Amino acid sequence: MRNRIESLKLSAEEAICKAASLKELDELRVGILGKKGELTEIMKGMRELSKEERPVMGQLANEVRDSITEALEKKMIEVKEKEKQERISSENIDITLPGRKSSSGRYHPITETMNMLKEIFIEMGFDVAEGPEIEKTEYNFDALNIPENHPSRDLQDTFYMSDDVVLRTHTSPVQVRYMKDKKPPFRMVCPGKVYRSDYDVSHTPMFHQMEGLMVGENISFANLKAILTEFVKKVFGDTEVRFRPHFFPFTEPSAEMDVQCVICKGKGCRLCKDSGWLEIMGCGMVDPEVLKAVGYNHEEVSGFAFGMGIERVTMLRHGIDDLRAFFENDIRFLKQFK
Amino acid sequence: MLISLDWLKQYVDIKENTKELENTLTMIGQEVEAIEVQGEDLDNVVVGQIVEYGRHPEAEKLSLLKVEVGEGEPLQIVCGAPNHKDGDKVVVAKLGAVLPGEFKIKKAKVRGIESCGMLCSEVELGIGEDREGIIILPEDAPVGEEYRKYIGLDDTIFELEITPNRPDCLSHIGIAREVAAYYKRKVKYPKYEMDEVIEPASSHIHVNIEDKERCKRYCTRILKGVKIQESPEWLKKRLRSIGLRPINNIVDITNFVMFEYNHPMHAFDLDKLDGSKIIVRKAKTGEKIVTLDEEERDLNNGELVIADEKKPVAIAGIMGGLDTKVDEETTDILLEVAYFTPENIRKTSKSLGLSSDSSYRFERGIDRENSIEVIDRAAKLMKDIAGGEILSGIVEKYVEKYEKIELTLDIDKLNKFVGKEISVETVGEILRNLGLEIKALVGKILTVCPPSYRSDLVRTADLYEEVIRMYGFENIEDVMPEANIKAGVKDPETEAVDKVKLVLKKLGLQEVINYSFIPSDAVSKLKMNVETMAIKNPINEDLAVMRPTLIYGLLSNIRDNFNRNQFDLKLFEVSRTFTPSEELANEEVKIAVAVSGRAEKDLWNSKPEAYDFFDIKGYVEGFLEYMGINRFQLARTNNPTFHPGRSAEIRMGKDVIGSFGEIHPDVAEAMDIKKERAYIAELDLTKILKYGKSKIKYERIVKFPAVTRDLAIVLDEDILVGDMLGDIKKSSKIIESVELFDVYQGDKVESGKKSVAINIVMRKSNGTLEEKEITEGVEKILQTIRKKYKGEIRQ
Repeated sequence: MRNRIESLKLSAEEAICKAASLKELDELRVGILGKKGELTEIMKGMRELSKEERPVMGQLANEVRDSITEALEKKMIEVKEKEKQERISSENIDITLPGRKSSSGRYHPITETMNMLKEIFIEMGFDVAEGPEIEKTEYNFDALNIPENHPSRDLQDTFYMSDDVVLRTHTSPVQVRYMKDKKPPFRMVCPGKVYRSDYDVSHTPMFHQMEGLMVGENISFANLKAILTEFVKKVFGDTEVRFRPHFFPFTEPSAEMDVQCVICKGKGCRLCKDSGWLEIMGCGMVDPEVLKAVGYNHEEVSGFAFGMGIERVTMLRHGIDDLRAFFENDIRFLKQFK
Repeated sequence: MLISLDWLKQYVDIKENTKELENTLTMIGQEVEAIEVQGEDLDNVVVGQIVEYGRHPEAEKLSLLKVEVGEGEPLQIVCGAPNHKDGDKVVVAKLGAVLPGEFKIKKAKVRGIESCGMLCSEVELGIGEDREGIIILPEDAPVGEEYRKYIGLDDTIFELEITPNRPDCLSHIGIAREVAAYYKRKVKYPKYEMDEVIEPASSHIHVNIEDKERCKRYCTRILKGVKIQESPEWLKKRLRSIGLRPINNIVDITNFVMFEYNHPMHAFDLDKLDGSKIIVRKAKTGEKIVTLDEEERDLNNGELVIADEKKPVAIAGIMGGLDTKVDEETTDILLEVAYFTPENIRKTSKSLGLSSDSSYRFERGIDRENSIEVIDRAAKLMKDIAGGEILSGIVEKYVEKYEKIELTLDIDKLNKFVGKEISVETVGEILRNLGLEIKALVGKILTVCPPSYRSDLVRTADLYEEVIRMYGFENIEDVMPEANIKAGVKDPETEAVDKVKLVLKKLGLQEVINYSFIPSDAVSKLKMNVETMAIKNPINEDLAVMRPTLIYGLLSNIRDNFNRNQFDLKLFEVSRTFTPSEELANEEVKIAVAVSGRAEKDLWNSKPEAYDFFDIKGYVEGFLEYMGINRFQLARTNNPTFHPGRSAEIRMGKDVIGSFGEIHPDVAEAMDIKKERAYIAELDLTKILKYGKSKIKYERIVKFPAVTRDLAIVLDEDILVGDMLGDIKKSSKIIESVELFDVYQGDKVESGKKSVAINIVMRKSNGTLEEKEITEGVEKILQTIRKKYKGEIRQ
C-alpha cells in the first residue's frame, strides 16, 4: 500500500506539472482526489490493514493528499496567470475605429445665449420676470411714453390683434407690470419673444429680447454705465465698450452701447462697417413720464433700463451671419451648437 | 438723412477730417450710419476724345475707336453705344477701373478685336439714370483730366440716423448747430438782402385760415415774371448730393431751402389759382384732388387742404396739386411757408397712404418762428436764379404764436442724477452753446429758455440729456451702485421652462424654435378643432394666426429637414401657445417632442431601424419621470391629429396632461411628410407641474431576497398590455415590479391573439418570502390575468 501511495504521488506530481489548462487540472483533481479518485480507491484498502499500520498509512495518505492539493493549487494559479496573459495579448483591437456615439441633446442657440445672460444677471442680483406676449397697447406703448399719433410709434412696426391689443413689440410691458406690482428698490430682467412686422435679410417678424430695469433712490447714469459694462465684460470678455447718445421714448437720456468689434478688434471690417464697434444694446435713465405712469414719485426714485436682442448677441458670440437661420430649424445648423 | 459735407461747411467751420467728424457726430447722438466719399469708384476714369472712328469688321452695331486719353498712345476701344461720332469728348474707364457694382474694366476681346477700356454712360458710373447712350462731354472738356474732378464729384456724404425727437436735425443748418455747439464755434446763417418792388403782394392774395386747430401759421410771398428753366450747376449738385433729382429752378429752390432750414414749403403757379383767396380748410366730403404724383385722391375724412376760391390745390403739408404746379409756362409764383400741427399731418399721411419729405418733417414738428426767414431766403434765391421781381410784403396769418418756455435746472439734482460733479459754469456753457438762453442763476438753480427750433426740450430731464451728451458719456466714470446684492430669483414660469428644456436636452433631443404664427389653414391640416386668434395685419398668409399648438411647427421642421436629406430627427420645442380668452389671451406653455426617421448609419449600426411609437413613448416616460410623475394612466385617444390605433393620452386623475403617438396619415399627407412616419407628443406644462413631485423621495434598498417568476400569456390582440401590467402590479403587496420582455404575434399563436412574456419580481421589505405567500401571490396574478383579461397561461 505504501508503494501504491507513493507511486501515486509521483505520477500525480508529474501529471500536474505537465497540465496546461484549468480543465486538465480539474480532471486531475477529480481523477485523484474525487469520490471515485485513485487515492480514494487506495484508501478503501485501509480496512484490510492491521491496527498498527492503519494510522501510519492514514497519516501518509493525508500527507500525500495535502501535497497533491497544494501542487494542484499552485499549478492552478500558474495556469490562470498564463491564460490571462495569453488572453490579454490576443485581445488587441484597432483603437482608431470610430466610437459608438451616445448623442446628447442640444439647446437651440437662442436658448443657450438666453440661459447664459439670465445666469449673469441673477448673479448680479436681478430677478427674472415674465409677462404676456399678447399685450394691451396701454402697456406696450402708452405707459412707456409712446403716445398714439406720435412718430415714435413708427419706430416699431406693430402686429395688431385688435385696436387696443398687440403682439408685444418689446418686453418693456413686462417692466410696466412689474413696476405696478412692486416697490423700489429692485433689479429685474425680462426675457422673451417679441414681434414686429418687419421681414427681410436683417429682420424676422419674431425675435427674442432681454430687457432689464434697476430702480431705487439715487440710481445714477454712472451706475448704469458700471452695471452694463460689467455685464458686457462677462459675456464678451475684457473688451472695450462705449456709450453714445440715442433716443428711446421711455428713457431720458438714452444711449446705445457698443462693444469693440469681435472680428477686427476695433481696426474696422465688414461686420462693423469699418467703425470698429458693434452695437450691443440700448439703454438709458427711465423717463420721468414712465415713472409717473406706474405711480412712482420721480423726484424720489430714479432708475435705468436696458434691452438687447438675443439673436444679435448670439450672432456675435458665434459668428453667425444669417439671422433667418435661427428659425429655419435646419438640423445641420442646430447641430453645431453643442 | 443725407448730409453733404461741402454744403454743411457753408454754415459752420469744419477743420476736422472725415474720421474725426464721424466720431463727433456719433458721440453727440447723430449716429453716422455710412459715409460716401464721392468719386471713390471713379479711379482710372478720365476725359477722352475719339480720334479715329470706324466700324467693327465683324459686327454692324459696334464701333471700333481710337480714343486719346492724354497718354500719347490712343487706346483701342470697341463700343456698342449708338450716340457718338468722331471727335466727341467722352468719359473713358481705363484698364484697372472698378465701376459701381464691382464692375472691373479688363482687357477684353470683343468679337475677335481687343478693347482696352470702356466709354461710359451715366448708369455705369452710378451718377445718373441715362442708360441710352454714353456721356458726350462739352467740347472744352480737357482730355486726360480725372472725370470726378471735372464734374466736381468731390464731396463727402454722411448718412445720419436722425432720431424722432430731433426734427431740427433733418437739415444742414440743424446739423451745423450741433457741430458748432460741440466745437464751440459760431453758426453762419445764410445772408441775403430782400429786394422787393413797390407793388404789394396783398393786392393779389388774401390768406384765410378756417381750421385754426390744424394750421397755426400761413405765410405767402409773390414773385412775378420768373423764367422757369434748369437750375444752375451748383444747385443741381447740392440736390444730387443728397439724392434728390433736380426738376426746375423754382422747385429745386423749395427743396434746397427745406434741406437747408428743415422747413418744407410749396410753390404754386399763381395764374392757375382761381380768385385771390388762399383758404386753409377742412376738405368737403366728396372733394377730390390730383396730387403731383398724378394720383387722384378722394378726400373723405376732412383732410386739411389748401384751397383757392373753387377747389383744393394742395393737401396741407403733404403734397401739392397737379393743377397748380409750376411748369415751363409758369411766370408768377405764390410761395407758401406754413406750420401745420404734427398729429394732423401724421393722421392724414397714414390714412391716405401718402408721405413725402414735407410730411415727414411736419409730423415730427418744425419751427414756426423761422417762417419769415425761410420764405425770404427762398424768394431771394428765386429772384437771383429765375429772375422776375418780388412783390412787396409777406401776406400771412399767425393764429397761434409760439410761446417760449422757461425751465429750471438744479445743479445738485443734476449731479446726483449723473453720478458726477459737473460745475455750474460747465453746465451753463453747454446750454448756451446749444442756443439756450440763460435767464437766471440763483444759488445753484439755473433758469433757461430753449430756442424755438428745439421743440423737444420741455422738461428738466430733457436738459439733463443735453448736458450729459455734450459733456461726453465717456467723461462720466463708472460707479457701482451701493447695495447688498443677493442672487436674483426666477419667475416660476421661467424656472419650470428652464428645467423642462434641460430635461429634454438630457434625454438626447434637439431644441427648435418656430415662429408663434402659423398659416390660417394650419389647424385644419392638423384636423384640430380649436379656436385661433388671427393677426389683423399679418406679414403674409403663412404667418397669419397665433399658434394654439406646437405640433404644426415641429411637423414643418420634419418635412423641411427631410427635404434637406436629414432623416435623423429627434426634436423638442417648449413655448407658449395662444387661444382666445376674455382678457387678452390664454397663453399656455406647451412641451412638444417629435421623433421621425432613423438614426444615422454608422459602422456599428449599419441598418438602423425607423423610430416608432415606442421611441416617442420612451421619451415621454423618461421626461415624466424626471418631472416627478412615475405613475399615470394611458388610454387610447380620440385626438384626431393622431393615428387612432397608435396614439395615447396621458391621464392623471381627471386631467389629460398630454397626448402622444404617430400622426394621423391624413395629417402626414396634408403636411407633405412622406418618407418616414412621424411621432409627436404634446404636453401641458401647468398640469405637469400640478402632478409632478419636485422632490426626490428616497427609498431604502431592501436587502431581503426576491423571488422572480416568468409568465407567458396568450391574449386577444386588442388587449392593452400596459393596463394589464398595471393591474398585476396592484394585485398583491408583495409584487415589486412587473416588466414586459416579449410581445409576439405570428405563426405560433392563433390569429387575433398575441403572446406576451412578463417577468414578475416579488419581495417583502421585512423578511424573506414564505412558500405560501409566493403561491398566494402568483394565484392572485393568474386570477387577474384570467378573469379581467381573458388571458391563457402558456406553460
